Amino acid sequence: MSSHDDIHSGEMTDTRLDQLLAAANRELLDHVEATADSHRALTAIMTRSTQEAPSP
Amino acid sequence: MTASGRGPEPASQSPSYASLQVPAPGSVVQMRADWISFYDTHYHRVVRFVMHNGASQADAQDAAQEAFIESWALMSSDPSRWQAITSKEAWIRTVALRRYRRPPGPRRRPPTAGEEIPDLPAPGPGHEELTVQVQLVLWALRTLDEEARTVMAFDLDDVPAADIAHELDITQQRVRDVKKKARTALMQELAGNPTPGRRQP
Repeated sequence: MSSHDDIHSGEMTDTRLDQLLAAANRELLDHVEATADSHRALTAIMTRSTQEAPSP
Repeated sequence: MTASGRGPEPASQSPSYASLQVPAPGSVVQMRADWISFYDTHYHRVVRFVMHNGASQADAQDAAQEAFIESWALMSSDPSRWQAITSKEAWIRTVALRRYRRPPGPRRRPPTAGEEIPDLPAPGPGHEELTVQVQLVLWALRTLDEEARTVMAFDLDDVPAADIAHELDITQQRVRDVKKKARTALMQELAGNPTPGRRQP
């Protein structure tokens, strides 16, 4: 199932909903992994954490 | 009750803290290594979780980053409290969602009633690059109320009902009821039979 027409055709069953949600879930994670740089985010987190750490 | 209405941050209140155990000497290094592993496993999934709750990807990334900053700060300042969080996967998502819904600064304004459901079948700004299938699911999730959307987002991440109930401060039966109702609404929306009262494209 990969198009708007496919999704809207026929009756939506529990099984079909599970399949659709699972497929969209995987696709969205793939997209996020491809476009959100976790290493850069980690560097930003460490930088922010260092800056916000209370002085001894 | 939803995650946004639970009062103080989980760091000070969440019942996820089942016990307060002092880490063994020398365990700080191991704890930091575990945190990095936790981050590597969950960063992208937390971004996705916040997107399932209606955020653009940019806002979801900001919220996830702030949540991980908070978790790092907690682990560094109070290791025993961090270790005592029994469901860190659910906890980090709750923190990220609160960061998204209640940002500390003027970066975001709270949505008004008229903005909650879009006029067009778009899941939100910044989603143009997503597949039609993903956009439709995100849009269908946005037709749910806040509690149902959050329960479904947790469920899509395979968070157990007990942990969802824990984080949202509701009963497990309530989680099951909300999920059942949400799935029925999603089936109607995605089959092209919109739920009565919802704004449709």
